[in-house]
Amino acid sequence: MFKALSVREPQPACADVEALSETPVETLLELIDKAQQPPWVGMRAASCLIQGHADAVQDTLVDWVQQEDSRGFAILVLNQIDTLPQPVAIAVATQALAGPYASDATSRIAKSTNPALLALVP
Amino acid sequence: MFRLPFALVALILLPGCELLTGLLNGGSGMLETRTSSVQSQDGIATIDVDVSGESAFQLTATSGQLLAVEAVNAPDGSQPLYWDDWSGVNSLTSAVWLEGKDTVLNWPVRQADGNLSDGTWTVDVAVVDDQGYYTDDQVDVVLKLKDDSDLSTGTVNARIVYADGLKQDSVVTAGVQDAVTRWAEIWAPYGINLETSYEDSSFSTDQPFPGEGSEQAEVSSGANGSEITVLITETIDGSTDYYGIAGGIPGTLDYTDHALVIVSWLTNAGGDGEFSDDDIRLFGETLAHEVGHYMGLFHPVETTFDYWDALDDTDDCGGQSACESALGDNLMFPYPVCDWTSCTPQDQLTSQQAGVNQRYTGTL
Repeated sequence: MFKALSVREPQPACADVEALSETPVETLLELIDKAQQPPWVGMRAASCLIQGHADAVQDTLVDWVQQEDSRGFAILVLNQIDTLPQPVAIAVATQALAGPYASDATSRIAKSTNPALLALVP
Repeated sequence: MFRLPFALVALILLPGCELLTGLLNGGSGMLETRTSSVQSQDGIATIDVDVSGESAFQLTATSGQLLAVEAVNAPDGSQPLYWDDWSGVNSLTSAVWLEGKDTVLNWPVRQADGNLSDGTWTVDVAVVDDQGYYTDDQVDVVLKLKDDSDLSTGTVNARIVYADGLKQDSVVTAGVQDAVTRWAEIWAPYGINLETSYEDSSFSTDQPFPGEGSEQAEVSSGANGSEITVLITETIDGSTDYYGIAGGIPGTLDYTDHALVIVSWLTNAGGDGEFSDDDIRLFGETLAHEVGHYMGLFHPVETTFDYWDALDDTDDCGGQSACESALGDNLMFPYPVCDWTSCTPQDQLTSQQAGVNQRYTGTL
């Protein structure tokens, strides 16, 4: 899976990548945690989690917007806030607006089409 | 008649045509621009290119129909390029691929293609409808000719444009500038001098692929005619799956919606959103790699390990292990060879790869 996510182009499809593991969520989380290079491996793995497994990894998504060293993941999930299941989106947005990336969060959540998220923006 | 294939996976001086000629000085060479319109006949637009001392030309053709270069014909009657010779497993130029309503040819591509002899060259451009049949339409042509006798050294002018708000983000600007320094270091041993300028803009931080965005022609319109535009975005096509993408192989020096390279700062920074030294090195390689595509370089081998470039000095390897061993340090290898914590530097070009970049019409 690491090799598949390393490719410069064409970009791998999440379904193809996840088919390489019997436990794709766990493997994607391991890659996010341990694969330092190239940087797009972690970003692509995170994108696959957001797109297909947001419910299962809600705590991880919330962690990204709260931790000091995860601005890239935070922006990634905030850019896709409208694609998340509503409870996950509310949890992520609420914590993001109170976290270290509040400025990044405010500008992105303000572009949401979800009234419940817009209501969170100060 | 039926024209195949669609894509595997951008002057003509004719009597009565409007002529616009401009000269730009970028480095030691000079660039001349000529524009015209040609009506195709029997599905072929025949474009004359009058050469008198120039060393390379770039033809950008656009119309309302699908376009692809069918053939290049030399003044001596020889035909150094015929599309069907490049429809197999080796790639010379995407100009022969029937991909869209524009096509871009840089000629010559390689040293092996010979020098651009004086006289009238003709480029036959196939005009094809969306069913694959030859048809007729007006073809608008922009031709740029390079007057630069030294094809061993040259200057490339890159115009770095920050999408909306990114020029105000110090993490982004510092990372880009450091990566550009690395990019220049990669090219220097191959006789390519990189000159860059930086611009702010209000273009969207999320851009679709080149050719698919409503803003992209406007992005490229700010270039001076010899510059390659590199747009720094946050995401590409709504995701961080793409770290960068070139508008063509080769890309045009004209002002079209394909006339740019798009690079995502976020994908290249990674999950921490910061640029480590390793990130900077890879980011620099990414910039050099993508602009290398724009200047005509293909991957020496594709990730399926059964398609190769058209160069003799890049190994036609087979299989992952053999190709990583033979080409893993090559700038144009399709992926970085990494072990989770570090990646092999990919900063090497073969002599013929450097020759392709030197023959790019924008390398002056």
